[in-house]
Amino acid sequence: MKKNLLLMMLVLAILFVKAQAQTRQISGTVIDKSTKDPLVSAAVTVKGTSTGTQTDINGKFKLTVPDKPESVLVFHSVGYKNREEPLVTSTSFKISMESDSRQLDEVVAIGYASVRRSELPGAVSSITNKDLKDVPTNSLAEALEGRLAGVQITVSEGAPGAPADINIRGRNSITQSGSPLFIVDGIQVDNALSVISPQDIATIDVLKDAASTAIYGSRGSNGVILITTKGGRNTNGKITVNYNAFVGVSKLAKELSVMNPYQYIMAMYDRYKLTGDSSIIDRYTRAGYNFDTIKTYQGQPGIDWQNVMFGRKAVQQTQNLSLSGGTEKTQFNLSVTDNGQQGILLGSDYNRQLLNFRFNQQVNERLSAGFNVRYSQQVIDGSGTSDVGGSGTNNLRQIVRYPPFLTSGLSESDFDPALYASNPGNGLTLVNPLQLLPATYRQNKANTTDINGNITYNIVKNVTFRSTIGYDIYNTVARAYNDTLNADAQTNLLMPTATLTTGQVTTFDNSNTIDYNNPAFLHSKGSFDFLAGQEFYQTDTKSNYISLRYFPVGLTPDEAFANLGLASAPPGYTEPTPTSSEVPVHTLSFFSRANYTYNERYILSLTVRADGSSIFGPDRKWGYFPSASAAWRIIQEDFMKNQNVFSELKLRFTYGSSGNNRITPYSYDPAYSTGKNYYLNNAGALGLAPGSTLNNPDLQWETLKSKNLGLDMGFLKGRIQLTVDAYDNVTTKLLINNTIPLNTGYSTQFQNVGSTGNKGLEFTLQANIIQSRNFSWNSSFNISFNKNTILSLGDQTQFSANSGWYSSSNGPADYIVKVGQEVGTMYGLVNDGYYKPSDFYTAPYTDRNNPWATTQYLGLKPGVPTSSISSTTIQPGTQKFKDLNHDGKIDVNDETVIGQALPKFVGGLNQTFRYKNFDMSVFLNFDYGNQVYNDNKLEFTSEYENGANLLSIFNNRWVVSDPNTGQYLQRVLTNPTTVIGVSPAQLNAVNGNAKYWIPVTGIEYTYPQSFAVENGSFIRINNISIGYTFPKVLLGKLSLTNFRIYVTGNNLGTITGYSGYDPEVSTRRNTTLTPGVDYSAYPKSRTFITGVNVSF
Amino acid sequence: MIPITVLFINSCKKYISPNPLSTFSPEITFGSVTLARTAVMGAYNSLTGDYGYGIRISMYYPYDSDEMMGAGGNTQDNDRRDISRYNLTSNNAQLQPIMAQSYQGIERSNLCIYYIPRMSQYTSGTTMEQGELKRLYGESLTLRAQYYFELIRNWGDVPAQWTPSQFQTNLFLPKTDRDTIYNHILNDLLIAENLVPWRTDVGTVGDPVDQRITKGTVKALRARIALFRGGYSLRAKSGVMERGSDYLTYYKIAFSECSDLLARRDEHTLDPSYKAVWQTYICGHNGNDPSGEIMFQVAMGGATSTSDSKLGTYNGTKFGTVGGGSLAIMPTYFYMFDSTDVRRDVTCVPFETNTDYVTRKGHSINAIVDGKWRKEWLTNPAFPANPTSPSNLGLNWVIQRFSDVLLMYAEADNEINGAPSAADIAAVKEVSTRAHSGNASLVPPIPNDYTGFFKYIVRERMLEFGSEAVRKYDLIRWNLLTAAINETKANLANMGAATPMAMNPPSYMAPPPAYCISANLPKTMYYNADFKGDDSYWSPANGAGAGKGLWANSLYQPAPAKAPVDLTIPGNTTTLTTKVSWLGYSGINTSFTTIFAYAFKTNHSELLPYYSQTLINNPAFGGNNYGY
Repeated sequence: MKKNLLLMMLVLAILFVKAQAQTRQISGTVIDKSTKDPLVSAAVTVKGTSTGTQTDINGKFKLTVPDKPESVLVFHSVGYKNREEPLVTSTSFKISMESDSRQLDEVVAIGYASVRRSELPGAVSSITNKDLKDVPTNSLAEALEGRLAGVQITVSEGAPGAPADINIRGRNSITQSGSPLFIVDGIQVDNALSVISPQDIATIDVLKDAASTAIYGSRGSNGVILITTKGGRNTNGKITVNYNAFVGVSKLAKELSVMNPYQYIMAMYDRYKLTGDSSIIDRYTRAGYNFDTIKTYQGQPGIDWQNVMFGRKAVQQTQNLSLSGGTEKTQFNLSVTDNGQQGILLGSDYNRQLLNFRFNQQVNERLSAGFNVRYSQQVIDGSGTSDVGGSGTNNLRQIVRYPPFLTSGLSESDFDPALYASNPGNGLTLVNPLQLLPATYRQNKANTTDINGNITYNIVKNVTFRSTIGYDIYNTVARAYNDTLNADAQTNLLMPTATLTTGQVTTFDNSNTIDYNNPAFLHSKGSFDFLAGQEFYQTDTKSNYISLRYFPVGLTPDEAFANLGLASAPPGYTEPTPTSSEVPVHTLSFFSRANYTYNERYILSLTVRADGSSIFGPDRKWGYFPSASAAWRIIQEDFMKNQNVFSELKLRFTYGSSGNNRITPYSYDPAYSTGKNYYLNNAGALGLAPGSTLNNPDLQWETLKSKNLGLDMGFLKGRIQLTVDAYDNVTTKLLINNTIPLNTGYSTQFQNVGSTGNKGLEFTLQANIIQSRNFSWNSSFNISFNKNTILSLGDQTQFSANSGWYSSSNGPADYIVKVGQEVGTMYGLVNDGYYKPSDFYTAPYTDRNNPWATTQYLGLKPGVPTSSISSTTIQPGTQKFKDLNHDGKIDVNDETVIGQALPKFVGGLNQTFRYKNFDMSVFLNFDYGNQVYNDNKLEFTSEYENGANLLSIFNNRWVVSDPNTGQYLQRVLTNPTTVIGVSPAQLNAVNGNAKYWIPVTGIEYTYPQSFAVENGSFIRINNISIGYTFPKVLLGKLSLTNFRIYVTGNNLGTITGYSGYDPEVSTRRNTTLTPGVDYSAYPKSRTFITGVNVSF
Repeated sequence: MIPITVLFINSCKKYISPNPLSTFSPEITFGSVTLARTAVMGAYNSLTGDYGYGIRISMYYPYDSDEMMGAGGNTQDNDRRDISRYNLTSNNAQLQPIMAQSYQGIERSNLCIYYIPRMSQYTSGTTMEQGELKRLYGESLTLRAQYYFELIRNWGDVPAQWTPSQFQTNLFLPKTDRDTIYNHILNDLLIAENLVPWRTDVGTVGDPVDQRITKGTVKALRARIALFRGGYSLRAKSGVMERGSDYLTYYKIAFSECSDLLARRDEHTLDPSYKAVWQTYICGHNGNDPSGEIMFQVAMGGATSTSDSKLGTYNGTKFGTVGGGSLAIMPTYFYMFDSTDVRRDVTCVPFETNTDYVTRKGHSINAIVDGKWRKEWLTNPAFPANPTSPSNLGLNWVIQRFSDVLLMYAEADNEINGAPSAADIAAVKEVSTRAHSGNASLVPPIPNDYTGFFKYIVRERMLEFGSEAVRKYDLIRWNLLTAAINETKANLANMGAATPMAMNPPSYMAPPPAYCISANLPKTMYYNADFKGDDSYWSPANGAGAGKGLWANSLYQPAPAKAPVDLTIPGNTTTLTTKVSWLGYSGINTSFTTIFAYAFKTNHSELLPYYSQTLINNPAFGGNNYGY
């Protein structure tokens, strides 16, 4: 089907291209008037037509033009004054262009229309395909990271296809998604980042202030990202074929340092001495726990499980083939992309195929039409390192913590039943990761079909009607199969279980606008543009969930999914009930925009949008979002005529509002749903009940009010451009899924109660540092500062949020949402090392059963707080925390703010160089001032899980037995509980330099604490690319127009103080309240890529 | 133009008001009898699962008491152990979810209570429809009463909300005095009594026989709540345990309800076998005991944490390699039963069983577990043969049985009249006779004075309702918890030391027979590992020293000087080496004496604290009381 479609389009395209007029060939060179350097990518067009081309790297161009001597050629290049040259009969042109920074004529999409950047009053960041070409990656999110001022992108983990969090100008929403609105070629596409190949992108424009986003009123408050895909161009019927391909390998960027076999055995021995539980040390020592046998493990080679599991050289390949071309009337672009990428973790793979076809036709003088078809399919295989939402099914634990060597007789891939049995019942069993991985089968498939079309009709002079219609179907199928080693099968009679989740989101989007545009309105000095429009937007979200248990043992996952009927509950057991849901959401909008520009100096723009959404109740459906913006192009004033400093100076101010409705639809109405059965006579009697969220009939649109003050400056004839934006955003009537008192019977209610503020500063600096014939150096730098503040939470002043990294219901919350604080505020106890011998009263002690003990450690001295969270008897070396409320007890009341997940500033620095035919780019991005909750570290330094390996930092821990003799140094006797030990001096002699406490053996290791909070600041060498473009002379012989080869390294190095795999991580994303948790994240990799760009 | 505009506005309105397909508004849910029934099932559902009677309310909250102890080990875990040890702070994470789920049940009931009487079928439906809707309405009132009762038992004063939250102008409710709530729910139950049919009449409204609430349930629950209303509780104002001066009013309500029930023995009566109640019906996954003894049970199943229970997996005996055993039977409780009381061997299990169902291993005296939810008794389905550890066994929790009605009747009447009547004595005797295999001559003599009779009931309720989450709350309403804990501690120490007496006779209840507390109790118990049979024990009838049951020597005589011979295999003359420690075992101290209820404080520990976050989320709630 896909192939046929492709073929049809090709035929169609070629047919149109065949319709050609009489032509002739011209050629020429375009150079800079002052430097005499060739101008690359200067546009050459025939005036009044869409015939045109661009100059190549040597400033040369070739163009087939209509054989009409009266035609005029127009030469255009950013930063230069346009030049016009009569065609006459010349066939060769040498054109020198005068630089003019006043002509910043880059075109920027602003929603339902485009404007020249010089006339733009709002805050918009843009990026083009030129910036993206140096980043050969399959992930658009990764490609954009750090490149756009005011846009913070966090890719959640290192798995191929991992989702990303995108926040534009900080977090407005508290409990709801902060994701911006994505518009692709005029159509809303929520999953744009995963269904569009970076190679297909022409430009991305990010609307940041409310005045800019107001035209998208609904849902615009998180910012709007407008993506324009590559279309065809008038090439006079010549078809351009571009082929881009790269292959690469990825390697684990960093390993966590864990104990070696000897260190591990010593830790297990000390755990045995501490707890008396010999079940693990028994395995490694002769009966009687002979300490001497431990010595034999010194120097024993270990197994580096991280290397076994993550160590592969993961191969990836991407091929992108595009055909484009067109005539004056017809343009098309067809692009096919194939991505294949292995993850560094065994069994984890990512495959994606994309097809993008764009077609535009000028039907007659008044009417043009276009359509666009996009298809993508994506398959992600493998269970990764974790299933979000619980600690039970955590592969990373096994990979990091599985004992670092094998007991005799077992090979690397053998199952170790004794070890497996060492942690019964708590879901923390140790399983050989090589075995567990295939027992936990996951496959996620997604495919998208998107068809959209548009017509533009010029009704009368200056008045244009435009209609866009889009239909998008997004299908997902998630398969999970848990074989007998998996914890889920363990609790279901040791029989495999499977879940099959299918989802479908269909989106229909139709917008109709009418535009009056008069460049000489009333008098010649003013231009006026008025747009009015209307839009339908509807989504229909369906999902089906089937969970089946009790599959016969021994099936492959494929066999199981092909024969779901094999799941059969034994007598007395029941299969879970399948569930489904279907949620339609409709939005109707009306909008209008008026722009007036006077004398190219004063720009005024007014926008208003009204949105009616089915998400809100009968009287609350409509929201109105007006905005105003103004700009003053100071550079055009007469008094600026005689200065040489500025080549551009524009002051912009905007004030406006936009809305957000991203809450669970129909939350205004009480709603009964299924899943609350009551098992009368052991059969589930259907039970309906409301969910955990109380309805709220008064729900209405959240409103963002945003002020933006911007300054665009150009220096040295436009060679240096600086854009500065300052903003102050306040979100009111904030939609919060607010915690309500438990006497209501619900846990939360959507309310319009809160308010958040974001204030920030953004700088974008672009410099054309050196521009000469053989060498050029361009640099662009952006940095964004944002300060988020929760201004109000309605009747509440604070509520807590639990990331649930360990278990979603138990344990204290690790985040707090509090007025005056930021979103993502980490909350917990402050570590204070461990109890020292001097913290205890001591008394002489003698006991013939424990002749080594000389001292009894009695109670804690005054002023030393008692740890109420410790589940074991407090003794020297027990983990200690600060008693912040000075009540003598360390408990939940001593929790405080211990970190912030939001960075103080983020940014990027891109340097591009060109020397003759060589090009090079170096891109760094950075984050500063955020913290990461390294919950891996809490788990990987605890001994709750018996027999699990520890991080090597815990070699420097407090020990309870003498590492040289294995004798007790201290011990807790029960009945009555008594702490005995050697003298404080002897204890200190062994442990005095210990950096860490005795590894925690109780569940309190999961307690939120500052030990887990680490500085997440980093500077990353995100990308270095070196390319070589073959000279044209050579290419001509091969009928090639461009041939470039390159090598690239992605994620080459990170400067950070963070001790985990990577500071850029966020793995507990079920709630937006808990960003920045690093628990069982898929480690990031370092990638080396080599590729080609070929054009015919 | 105007019609077009109107048409346009209407079609816009229609466009942005699509039908939300996957959620039902109350109008739909309470639009038909069938769907209204599902809403009531939803209200029942809050009784189940991990935060209902699946584990927390049934097995975390009711301990430690003189009968049993919560999860063992001397760990301060700020979790379930600290609940049992009375070492509670307002930061214990096991507090909030239970309270939240109870209120969830109240809200679901409130919605049914609001909407069902407003349904058109309620007043103008067919007779069958009206009957069913009345039943559903009555069930909702009863469920709400049960949810509030459980909240009050554990926390005392709590916020009271009687209408659905959507109609509530203020969601931030302060605590309401428990007496006000009690009065409200006692009144509700009076209404509900007249709405729901008797157990045998459910067919008249078109319902099958199942575990839903019937008239008997409502009446028994009302009697129980009335006794608590008239009993002692810890009061915030005075800070001490006290009861109202009008307490007899409520004993009279209890007596009246119990009298009604005793008049309808065709609806509810004792099952002839105490063991069958558990083995045949509860562990047999059979919800319909013909006698109607089980008057109120929470039906659980579906193997999910929100609909099933962990009964028999968290507690109970070890079977094969699969544990349980988180709850411990106090050795002192084991010896409160006389040797012929069948309830001892149903309630207390001092052994584990292999998957062959016959090979057993005796347990030391410090490792006796409760046995009413017993893996080896499971049928329909049986306990899985695989060496697997299922979390859920689909076992129901029993809230109330008919024996409670008999004992409440006697207790209330004794209290009202200052002495037991013949009927009171007969009621108690009926319970105890059943417990002695129907042999009334084995029933310990029942005193006929007020105090003696009361103490007899204090013991009888302990023996009858072991591990049914009755004991701790009974002791609290009698204001005997402090005495019970102190005397149990002392007796545990005695048992650990085995001198001079195994136990002192308790002061707050009738003592067991002298042979149960004498210093003669064995220090070692021998057992026949390959004893084939159910759970019959050594008895004098089988011949001393030559055990034909599990035990090879008497539980009430000193162990023989020479190990007895294993007579389970005919002709075998080898002496038994399978033995366990019993009286005087140091394990009694480590397992119990040092940790049992160690943090209990009178006028503090009788109620639980409110969870800190609960208070933060609702400033109107007020703070914690009782020294928390």
